[in-house]
Amino acid sequence: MPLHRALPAAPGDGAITARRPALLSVALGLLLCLVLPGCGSSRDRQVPGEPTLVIMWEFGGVPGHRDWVRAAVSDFNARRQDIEIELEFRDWNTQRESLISSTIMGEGPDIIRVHHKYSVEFGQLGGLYALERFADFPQVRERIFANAWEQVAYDGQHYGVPVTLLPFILVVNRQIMDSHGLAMPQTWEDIRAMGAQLKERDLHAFTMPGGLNLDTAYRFLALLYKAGGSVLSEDWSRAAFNGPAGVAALTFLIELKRDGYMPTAAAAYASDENTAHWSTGRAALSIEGPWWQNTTSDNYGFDLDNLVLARVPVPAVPPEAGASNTLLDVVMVSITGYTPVPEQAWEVVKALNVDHPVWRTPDPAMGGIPALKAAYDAGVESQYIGLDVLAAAAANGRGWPGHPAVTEIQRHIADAVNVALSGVTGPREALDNAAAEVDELLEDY
Amino acid sequence: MRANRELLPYTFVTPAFVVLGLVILYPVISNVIMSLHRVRLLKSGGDEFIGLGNYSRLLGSSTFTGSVAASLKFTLLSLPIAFVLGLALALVFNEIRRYRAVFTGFLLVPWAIAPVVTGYMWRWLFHDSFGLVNYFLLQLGIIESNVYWLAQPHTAMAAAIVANVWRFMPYITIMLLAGLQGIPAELYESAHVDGANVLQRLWYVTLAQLRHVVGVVFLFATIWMVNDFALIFIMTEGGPAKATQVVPITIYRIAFEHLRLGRGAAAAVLLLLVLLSLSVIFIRVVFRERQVAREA
Repeated sequence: MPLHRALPAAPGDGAITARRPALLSVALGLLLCLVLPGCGSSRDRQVPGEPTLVIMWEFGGVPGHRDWVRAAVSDFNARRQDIEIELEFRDWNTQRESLISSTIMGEGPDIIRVHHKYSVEFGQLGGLYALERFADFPQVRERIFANAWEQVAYDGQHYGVPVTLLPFILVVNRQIMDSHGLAMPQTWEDIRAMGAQLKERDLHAFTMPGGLNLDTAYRFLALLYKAGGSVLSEDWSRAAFNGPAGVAALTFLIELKRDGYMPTAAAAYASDENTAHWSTGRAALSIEGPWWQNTTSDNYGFDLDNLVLARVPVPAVPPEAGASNTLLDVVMVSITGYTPVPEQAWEVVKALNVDHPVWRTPDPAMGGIPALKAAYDAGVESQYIGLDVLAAAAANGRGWPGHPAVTEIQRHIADAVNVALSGVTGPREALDNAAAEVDELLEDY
Repeated sequence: MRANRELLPYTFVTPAFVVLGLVILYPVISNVIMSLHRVRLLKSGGDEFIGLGNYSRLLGSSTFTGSVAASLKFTLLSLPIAFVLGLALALVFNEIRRYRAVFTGFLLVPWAIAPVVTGYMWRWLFHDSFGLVNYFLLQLGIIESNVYWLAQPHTAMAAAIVANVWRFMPYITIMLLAGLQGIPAELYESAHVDGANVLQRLWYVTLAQLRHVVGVVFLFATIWMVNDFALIFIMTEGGPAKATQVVPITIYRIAFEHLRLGRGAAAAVLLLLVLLSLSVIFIRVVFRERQVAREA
């Protein structure tokens, strides 16, 4: 039966016929507005007589940092009549997707707080604004550590202001060390030796997140760098993490697990489980960063009197001739390449991230140590435990290579470490397999 | 006037078709097109047409074939266990006369909890040092030392299946309970008079009458389990050693971590084809049975 015959005739049918299409059109229009992007109106950035709008996206950040940003933005907006900041917090894990979509669309925020590795990927694509284009950049550059600038540079230009430094150091449970008469480990062999002693007391010498996540890749890289290895070859044409230093680092971890000096379950640990294991006194050592002090005390009630920081141990005999470095992560604040208001955005970046007094005092609540040289001047007081260790580690710091494919490379390394820690393949095979994947990936660049 | 009247019904259904086209057909078609290209999100030059290149790469990849095996294991082991437990619960609930609504309300809790929450909950329940699973097993003397549930490939899959069964069982129970309440009591009385024992009544009356409901339950549960991402991703992240990396996690990793959107789209198309085939087979079987019954 044709559909129209199934409908009963009703009084006023003609009127319905005439009105319905119009109503349906309106409903459909509204629906399309919901479905299709771009129907929402956004305020013009520069309207005569009104302050210039600068949109800022803060990816990630610990609670203390977020509180500070809120207050600082509010203060800035109250002080400045010419610029108004619109602040939005975003999840740290979504920064790459957000950058990709905003770079493709050519619209989005004017300022972003992101990981330094995106300086290359998005700097070369025009997604980020080269700071060399600002006349006073040399003065700003002088005020921040040189090796921090290296992490945000690509092809001779800089695509973000390094704000927070996150050097990877060894966190040590003093109580465990003292109660067993153990000295601070300097080498991987020292960790093995203390492992045998602690195992008798049902304790682990070392713990780390070893699951299928990027935290795993970071711990591996911290050891790889200490052993003189690199992620990529010098010309970035092939993987180098499967060299002697990489194999030595992964073998070291596997042996710690095999011998019971590291939790067997570490192969499933993400950051949460690892923090719980260390903070509850089940392991003496872990490789972490400046966030550890607040994470372990706030979330697990760890007594900070028992927290000691030290540099990450090195192998007694370096497997590679390269320099021994500390893994360093940098959080940078960048201006997007498509911003219609770069000068105003630069004003905001300087006011909040270079000139603001909060960066002159290293504060554990901010989640990392400042990149500003002035923060380490004589006489500066800080609540940080082991600030000297953190500062020295940062000074010797080396970040992940700023290759556009670095996120994928990290993923392959994490997979390899997890597979080897799970005992499915040996360290060399796992790293070689990952290196083959990375080599194929690098051919695209 | 007559022409307007004839067009009126089509006017009514047009918005529905437009919406369906926009939200279902367009993404599916664009996904298929994407699967035939090497997608370059951020590079100049545009996407490159590579035909079935993404598909051949996927089918030759041990990660993808491994994830298909993981999905099969996850679904084929979860589903029968959840079904048997769900049926048992439904039979018990069917006998309860008072407060049945209250019990079924409680039963829905695992189904109502967000998969992410369920994943975190089970992740910590199975934790080697702090988890309640090890604690109770130790207390009961079933194990002598902590089991590293999520750190060993076979136990990680078992843990994920337990969590999945816990989540899906209520849905199966509710569906079967609804079916049970529609079975006429006379059928049981006749079977009893004919001398059928309990198991025979269960097989020849209960399950025979429930077969369409069971079919629907199996179809939907299979689709949901094969498509499940959040629970298993939160619990194991696909590890250890990719032992629990089911197809949706592989698709996510390929598409959004490695940014191989074309290859990820191809994997999604393959998954869609498998699930569509299952659905078509099921629908044909059910409709044929009904047609045969009508003709008889």
